[in-house]
Amino acid sequence: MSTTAPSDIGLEEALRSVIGDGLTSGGDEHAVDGVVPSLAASPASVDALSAILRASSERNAAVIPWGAGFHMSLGNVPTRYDVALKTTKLNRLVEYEPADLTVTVEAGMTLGRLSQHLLEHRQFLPIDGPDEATIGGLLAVGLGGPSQQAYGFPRDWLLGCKIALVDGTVVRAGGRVVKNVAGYDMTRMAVGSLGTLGVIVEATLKVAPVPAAQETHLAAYAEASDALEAARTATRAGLALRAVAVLEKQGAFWLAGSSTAVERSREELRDLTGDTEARRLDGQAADRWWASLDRLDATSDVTVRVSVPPSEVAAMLLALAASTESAGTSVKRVAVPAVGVIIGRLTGGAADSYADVIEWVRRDAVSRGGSLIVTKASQDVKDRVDVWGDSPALPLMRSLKQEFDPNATLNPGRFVGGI
Amino acid sequence: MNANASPAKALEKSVVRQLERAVGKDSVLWRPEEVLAFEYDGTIERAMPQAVAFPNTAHQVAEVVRIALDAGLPVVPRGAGTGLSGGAVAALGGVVVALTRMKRILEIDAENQLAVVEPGVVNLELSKAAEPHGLYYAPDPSSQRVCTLGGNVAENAGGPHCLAYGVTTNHVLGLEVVTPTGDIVELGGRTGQTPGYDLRGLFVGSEGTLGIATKIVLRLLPRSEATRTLLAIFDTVDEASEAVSAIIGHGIVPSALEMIDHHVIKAVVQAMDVGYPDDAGAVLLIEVDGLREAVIEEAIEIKEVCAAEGAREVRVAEEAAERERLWAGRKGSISALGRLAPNYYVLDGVVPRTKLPDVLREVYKLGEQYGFPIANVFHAGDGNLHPNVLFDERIPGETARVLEVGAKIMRLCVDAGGTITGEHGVGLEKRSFMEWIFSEADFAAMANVKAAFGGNDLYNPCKIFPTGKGCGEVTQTKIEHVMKQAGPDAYI
Ligand SMILES: Cc1cc2nc3c(=O)[nH]c(=O)nc-3n(C[C@H](O)[C@H](O)[C@H](O)COP(=O)(O)OP(=O)(O)OC[C@H]3O[C@@H](n4cnc5c(N)ncnc54)[C@H](O)[C@@H]3O)c2cc1C
Repeated sequence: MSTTAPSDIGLEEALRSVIGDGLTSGGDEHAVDGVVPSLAASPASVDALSAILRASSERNAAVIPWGAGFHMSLGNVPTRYDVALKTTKLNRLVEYEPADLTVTVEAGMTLGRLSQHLLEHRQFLPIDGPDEATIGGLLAVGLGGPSQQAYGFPRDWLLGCKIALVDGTVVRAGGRVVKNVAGYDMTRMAVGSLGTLGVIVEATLKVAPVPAAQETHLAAYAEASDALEAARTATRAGLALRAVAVLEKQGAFWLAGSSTAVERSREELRDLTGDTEARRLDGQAADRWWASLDRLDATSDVTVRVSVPPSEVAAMLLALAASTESAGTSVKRVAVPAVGVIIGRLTGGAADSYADVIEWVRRDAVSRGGSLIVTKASQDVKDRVDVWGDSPALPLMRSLKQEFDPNATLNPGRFVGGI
Repeated sequence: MNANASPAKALEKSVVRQLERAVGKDSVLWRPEEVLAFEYDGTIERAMPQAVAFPNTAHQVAEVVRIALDAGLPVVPRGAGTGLSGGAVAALGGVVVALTRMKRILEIDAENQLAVVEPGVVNLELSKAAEPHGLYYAPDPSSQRVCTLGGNVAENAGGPHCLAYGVTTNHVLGLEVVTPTGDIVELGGRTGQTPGYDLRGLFVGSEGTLGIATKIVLRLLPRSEATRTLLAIFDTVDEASEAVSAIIGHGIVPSALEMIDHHVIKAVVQAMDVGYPDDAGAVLLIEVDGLREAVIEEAIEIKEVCAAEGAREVRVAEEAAERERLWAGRKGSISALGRLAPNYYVLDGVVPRTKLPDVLREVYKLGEQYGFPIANVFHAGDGNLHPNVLFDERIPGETARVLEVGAKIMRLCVDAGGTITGEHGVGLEKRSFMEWIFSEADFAAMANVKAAFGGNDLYNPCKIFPTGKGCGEVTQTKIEHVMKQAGPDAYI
């Protein structure tokens, strides 16, 4: 097998000349929004992945990088799609230096496996996600979960990465040290770009020590607004919190820190959960509870993610409820108020009514200095609304795409503004 | 006329008039004696700009950019000029866009813990303005009394407290930027996560080559309930640097972890009374903050780790006055260095924290080989070294040897798996070292980024990249000549 394909042969033959058995037919299991690719390629090396990208680009074929496929519902309907490019065979732990709090992995390593390695040294990666998700996929999506409250954005944990570009080159962004300002910070370009500029093939991440004590308290309130108020007060009090989530009328308080800090926070929390019946979860039970938030999408037709300044969370929760009610659909809302993120899961409506809700809530979010993206929807809904909404920087984004992927080989049409 | 390699083009009177129309007659300098003050930044690099414009608004910035480019003149953004890599030096002449008049704090949104500022706001001023709300701006470069937030964004500046709280990029939510083609665009926003590419993140640290920040949305943090500052005293640098690795290795991430070596201690104790023992090999200045209980616990843990690594003594300061006294030594260390030698040349390498002991040993060895004392005061917790090479420029040939030893130290950092700059930027100074860490393909990708923003040869030329039209001779060949003119201030 070779790492460059001769230019006078067709796509399938070319890819086969690079990875042989690693090439299979696409099939429904690789469909994205109902679009089925003719081929699925599973390269076992960065060189092979790179050669596939180049051979595809040269033949104007469209490629969708594929990690665990967990986030494939995100994005507009692809305009073209020939090859599912799977990173799952690139799953090595490249380097782990616990004493430096840094780790380097190939992009196809799953979060679950990485966590196992890190746990041996009581460390973890504070980017929330399902265990099956690949690191490359998590970064390409770049959306944080509840832990963002204490640990910041996912992008803040990426120190460096290698990115395979459509011209067959592999470039390095950032480095392996925790502080670095040499050259443009292209790691930022990779995170959240949904694989439209290149394929992340390796990542060096900062990791964190596992807090000495962690526990979760669930409290039921009479009204959603009470839960929200309790969340706000707990956050303001500076308690040892990893996250506070509000699920309709329930508040979930994730305490984390040294055992004395957690102890005191628990005491203070008692006042906030006062009359309500609070339930405490520890260890795996708590982990399972927080992980279950990621699985709620299984029950929704449409999922939206609203991001607003924290002061606007209460108003946005009401807006979501009101708009879904008037559209005749129902909604389940989960908010992490401290970071201004609200996830709305919609059920029981037709495509038109979902589209109405999305447009309406998006306008409201934008007017409050925020945004709304659709993270899950059927093709019908996607045909009616843009998944991402507008960006004032769209012309610049288009030229960035043009520079890196002029043939629109990668994820054509799925990103902002149809990029 | 000056150290410029080849001033791009003569400055026509008509261009001066255009600039004056754009920003006001009293806001353009062009006579050589007027622009002289803008010849340098914090480095040894110097070059005369042809004009300096002081815009007051984003629109004026955009106009100045367009006028300069239309006239074929380079454009060089400039904040306070404290940069330590020559970023604000007009390498090929041209128009310096000085942002110091755009210094309004436009908004402090206490509820959402953010601020909106103009680029010329001085770093410390923001924390002062946020203070009444119980908030502060975390990145605290040692130059924070003078440097601008625009300059911080451009350099992705760090500081002692960036260990736990992150550097500038971790605190920038959004930007308004005048692109190199003179367009005004918004990047990011007020939530830190906006749909589309993270152009905000690409811009931060781009050293004024991708545009000029005209408005910045920054995250503010609430003050912690409790803070403790520790001074761990060691007989040797070796023990102190082993202790740094051990603290991080124990999973403790203090809010600051700074090292001050014996050279610096000697200078500091001569200059002020901060209570550092003058016979110590090195001290670590460590700060922890957070909940009262956590802070007490962490302080004890750190004390134990330091003791196990051979600390002679660990002092713990709780009261504000006591803590400030300990910090005064760190903050005054750079100016105290002047007591040890007429000149010092500061470097800014980064190494993995586990490599600190080895690399530091090699750094001192190099100093001995070359006969220069090398004083180290730096952000140890991040592995961000600041070796200061002490020398006397009046001795012929010394300057060239200082640059040589500087390059060797940079190489040490790279070979240890690190990088050539952790917070000061590449600028003019470290362009040639870039090839040690990046490949042709990497540079091509960065050129793509630059092209996407509309960056061009006239827009802050000769910065970051090893090659550039007409930039070849700017630095190295002129340095000796330049060094002769430069006073000691220019070396920090
Ligand atoms: C004593 C001393 C201590 C220092 N300590 C630290 C430290 O602890 N940590 C640290 O990180 N740095 C430190 N520095 C370096 C320096 O202060 C920082 O790099 C600072 O961010 C520069 O800000 P400035 O306003 O002086 O920028 P300038 O020096 O004026 O400019 C720096 C760069 O930014 C560009 N620029 C300026 N304003 C803008 C804008 N609005 N938009 C786009 N580009 C712009 C310029 O073109 C140039 O490339 C120190 C410097 C000194 C002298």
